[in-house]
Amino acid sequence: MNPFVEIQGISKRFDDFVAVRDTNLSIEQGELFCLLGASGCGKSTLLRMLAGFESPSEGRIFIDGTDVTTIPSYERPVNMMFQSYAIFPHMTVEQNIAFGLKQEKQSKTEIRKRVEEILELVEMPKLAKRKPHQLSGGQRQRVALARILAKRPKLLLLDEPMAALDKKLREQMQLEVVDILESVNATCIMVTHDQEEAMTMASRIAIMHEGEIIQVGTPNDIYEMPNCRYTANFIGSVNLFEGKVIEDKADHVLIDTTKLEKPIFVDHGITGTLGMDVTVAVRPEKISLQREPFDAPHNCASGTVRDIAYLGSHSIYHVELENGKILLVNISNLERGSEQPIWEEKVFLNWHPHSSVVLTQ
Amino acid sequence: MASSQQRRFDSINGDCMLAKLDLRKISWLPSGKTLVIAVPYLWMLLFFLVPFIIVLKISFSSAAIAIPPFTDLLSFADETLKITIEFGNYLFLTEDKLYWVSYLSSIKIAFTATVLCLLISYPLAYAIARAQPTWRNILLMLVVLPSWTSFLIRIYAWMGILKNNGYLNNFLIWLGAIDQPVQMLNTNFAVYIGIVYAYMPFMVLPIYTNLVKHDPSLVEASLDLGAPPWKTFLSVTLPLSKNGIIAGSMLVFIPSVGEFVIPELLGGAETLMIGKVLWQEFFSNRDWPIASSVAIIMLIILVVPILFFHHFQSNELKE
Repeated sequence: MNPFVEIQGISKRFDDFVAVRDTNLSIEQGELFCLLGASGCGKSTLLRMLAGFESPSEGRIFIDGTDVTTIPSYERPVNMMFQSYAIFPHMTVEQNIAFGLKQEKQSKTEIRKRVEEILELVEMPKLAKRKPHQLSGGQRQRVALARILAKRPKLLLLDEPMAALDKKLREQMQLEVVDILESVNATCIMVTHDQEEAMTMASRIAIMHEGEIIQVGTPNDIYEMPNCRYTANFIGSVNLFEGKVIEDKADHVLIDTTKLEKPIFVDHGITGTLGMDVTVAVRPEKISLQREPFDAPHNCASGTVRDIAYLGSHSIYHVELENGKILLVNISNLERGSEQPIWEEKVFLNWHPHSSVVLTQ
Repeated sequence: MASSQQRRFDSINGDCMLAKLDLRKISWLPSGKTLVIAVPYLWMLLFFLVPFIIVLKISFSSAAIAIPPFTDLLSFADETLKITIEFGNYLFLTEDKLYWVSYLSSIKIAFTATVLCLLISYPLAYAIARAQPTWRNILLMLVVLPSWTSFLIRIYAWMGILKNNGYLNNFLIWLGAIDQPVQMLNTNFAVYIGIVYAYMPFMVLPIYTNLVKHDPSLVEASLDLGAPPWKTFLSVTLPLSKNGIIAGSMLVFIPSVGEFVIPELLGGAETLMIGKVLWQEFFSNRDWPIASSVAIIMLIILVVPILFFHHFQSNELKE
C-alpha cells in the first residue's frame, strides 16, 4: 500500500538559494509527524509546499494517492494552522470556524451543527460570539485549530503551533492538542524548532538541516540512536569524543581517543573499517559520577568539577578532564540535602558500554 | 522645603549639579507634555477658531457700502450699546433655490469623484503594498511627486490636455476614434478628472498605510480554508481595509465639496459648486454677509462626515 502522504524528490530554489534539496518522505495515516530543525533549515518551506503556498522547483507531492503538486491551496484537502494563528480579526470565533465550511457550499444548518460540534471539541462553546482580540493566547490557538479541524482535512499542517505561547501554557497545550488530534484521528505534519515540543507531541520526527532531511525516526530513536553529529548535538546535550576504531567485532567496537586514557568500549557493531575516524556520543545523564575511582576496564575518566548548574530536578556538572576537555554530567537530585561533590572536587566518571553511540558522519 | 533641600544638596555636589536645572521642580511651568500639545492647539486657535468667529460674525451682519462691506454687530450711540444680529442672510439661503441646488450639486460631484478616486486608488495602493519593500517607497514617491508642482499649474496643464484642440482630442483624432473634437473642457467630466487627479494621493496614502500593515498569513489562511483569490479579497482584504477606505474617502470628499479652483478652471456653465457660488458672492456681488453664511452652512454640512471620519480614525488608532 502506498503511504498516505508521499513527498517525492521535492526541491525548492529561491533564485540561487536552495531551501529544500531533493527530499523524500512518506507519512502514514493518523501519524503526528514533526519536521524539526533550526531556523532556515527549510522545514517551513517544505510545509508551505504541502499547503500549496509555494510550488516546488522539482518533485511531486501525493496525498491519499492524488498528485496535488499543481493544485492551488484553496482546492487542496489540506489545512494549515499558522504560527501567528491568522485568525480573521473582523470575525467572531464562530464566523472564523464557519469560514472554511462556507467555502464548501454547505447548508446553513449543517454549518451551524459542525461549528457547535467543533467548539465542543475544543471546549469553548461559551466563547462563540467573542472577537479574536478578546481571547487569550491559548484560546486563540484553539480557535485556529478548530477552524481547520472543522473542514475535516485529509492532512493537517501545524506551523510552529506553540511558538506564540508562554512556557507553562505551552506544556499544557502540547498534550491537549495531541489529545484533540488523536480524538479525530487526524494525519498531521508539524514544524518546530523546539526539540522538547517535537519529542512531546510527535510520533515520528524528521531532523532537517540545510534543506535536507538527515534522520527520520521516533523520538526515542532520534535521541538514543542519532545517526550523525548534527542530530546528536541538536537533540539534547551530548559529550562527543573523536577517535579511531582499533577493534571492530560483530558485537562490540573499541575506539581509541586522545581525550581519554583508556579506549571507549561500545557494545554494538558498526559498519566501518578498522582505523576509520569516528565520533562517540555519550549523553550527560548516562554518565555516573562519584568521588572514588570506578573498577571498570573501559569508559572511565577522572577530572575536577568546574561548574554546577542546579536545575532543581537535576544538576549539570561540568567536569574538566586533565587534558582540558569538559564533560557534561547530569546528576539526579534524588534526595534533599544529599552530599554531592562540589566545585574543585576531584571526581571519577564512568558509563555503561551500552550507553554510547558511534557516529560515523 | 523640598526644593530648598534640593538646592543645598546641589551646592554640596558642586558646579556640575547646578548646571542641571530640573524644570519639573518649577511648579508654575506647565509640563513638557502640555507644552507639546499646546503649540498645535494655539495654532488652531489662532488660524482656525479666530477666522471662524470672524466669518460667523460677518454672517450675522448686513451688507453695507463701506470698507469692509458689512455693518458692525455692535454699535454704541446715545449711551446705548446696540447689538444687531441679522438672520436674514440665512433665511435668504433657504429662499433662493440656487444655494440649495449648488450644495446638493457640490455634494453629488464630490461624492462621485470620491467613488471614482477610490476605484482607481485602491488597486494602485494594493499593488504598492504588495510590491517589493525596496520598491514601495519609490512607487509612493511617484504618487506624491506631482504634488511638488503648484496645484494651479497642474490644473492649467489639464486645460491644455482637455481643450478642443488639446492633446487628448488631437490624440483621439489621430487614432481615428473621433472625427472632430469632443467638448471635454468646461464640462462636469473635466471637473471629475480634475478632482480625481488632484486628490488621488490623499486616497492612495491611507489605503496603502492600512494594506501594508495586513498580516499576509490572513490571506493565506483564507486561501487555505478554500476561498479562491477573488473571494479572499472580498471577505478578508476588503473588510480589513475598511478604515483606510473611510479615511481616504473623507480626505477626498471633504475638500472636494468646497473646491473652487477645479470647477472654475475646468468646469463649465453647467457646473454648479458651492465654492464657485462663494467666490461670486464675495468678489462679484461683494455681499460678504451672504458669502459668510454660505461658508458657515457648508461647514455645518461637512461636520457630519468630519465627525464620522474622526470616529473611524480613533477606532483605527485603538487597534
